[in-house]
Amino acid sequence: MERDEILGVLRAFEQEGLEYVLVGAAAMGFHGVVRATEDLDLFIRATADNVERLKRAFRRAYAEDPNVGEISAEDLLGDYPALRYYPPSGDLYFDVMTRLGEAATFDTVEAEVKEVEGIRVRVATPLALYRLKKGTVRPIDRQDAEALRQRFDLGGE
Amino acid sequence: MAVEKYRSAEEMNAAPAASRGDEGFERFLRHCARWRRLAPRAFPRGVFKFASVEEAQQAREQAGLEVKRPTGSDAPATSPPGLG
Repeated sequence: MERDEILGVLRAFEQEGLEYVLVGAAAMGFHGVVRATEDLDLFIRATADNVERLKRAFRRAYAEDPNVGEISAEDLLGDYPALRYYPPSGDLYFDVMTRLGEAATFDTVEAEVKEVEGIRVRVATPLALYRLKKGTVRPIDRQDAEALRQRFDLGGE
Repeated sequence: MAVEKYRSAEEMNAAPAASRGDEGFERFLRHCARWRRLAPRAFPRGVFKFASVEEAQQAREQAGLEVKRPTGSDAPATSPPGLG
């Protein structure tokens, strides 16, 4: 995952007005809990207009990659609330979600705005990340939850 | 301070590592770039869609899982690799 590529995508999200919240390891990185990852995870607001913003942002960041055309509001707002986009760079991928089961959506994940190189990034709060991760089955998520709990004193949660 | 001295390994292990004060996203970016150089992987291209996050996570971890793809795609219909 290369720095310029990530910043370019985050910049494109902002330029296109995408309504999103960053979750996962990248969001933890904003809070100082650092581990490597090969993907960027984000919830987006589940509207057709916002899915179009997502597509425009990916096209802007990846030189009009034609694969972006496979992203559709019908899928993301319907039977396929999760998609994975592998851009042409081959260095990383994006997990985009409109909902996580019945529990989490763009509207229910508490977020705050962080800034990197003048780019405003909407990032899930440590508590929101902890809540997303603590009940999941992947060992890496449980490790993340524990790291967040210790760093932000979330023992009461 | 470039050198820190401890009277025991336990004392050293209990001490937090000094940082340059740029904890956070910049360190995350450097860490991921280092990881990428150490263990580069080639990903497929295109868009894969999933009915649930659990299904997406299974696709990360299980080779050979059938991945649902939109019709008309020109990208190879391979399963995405697992996440490191």
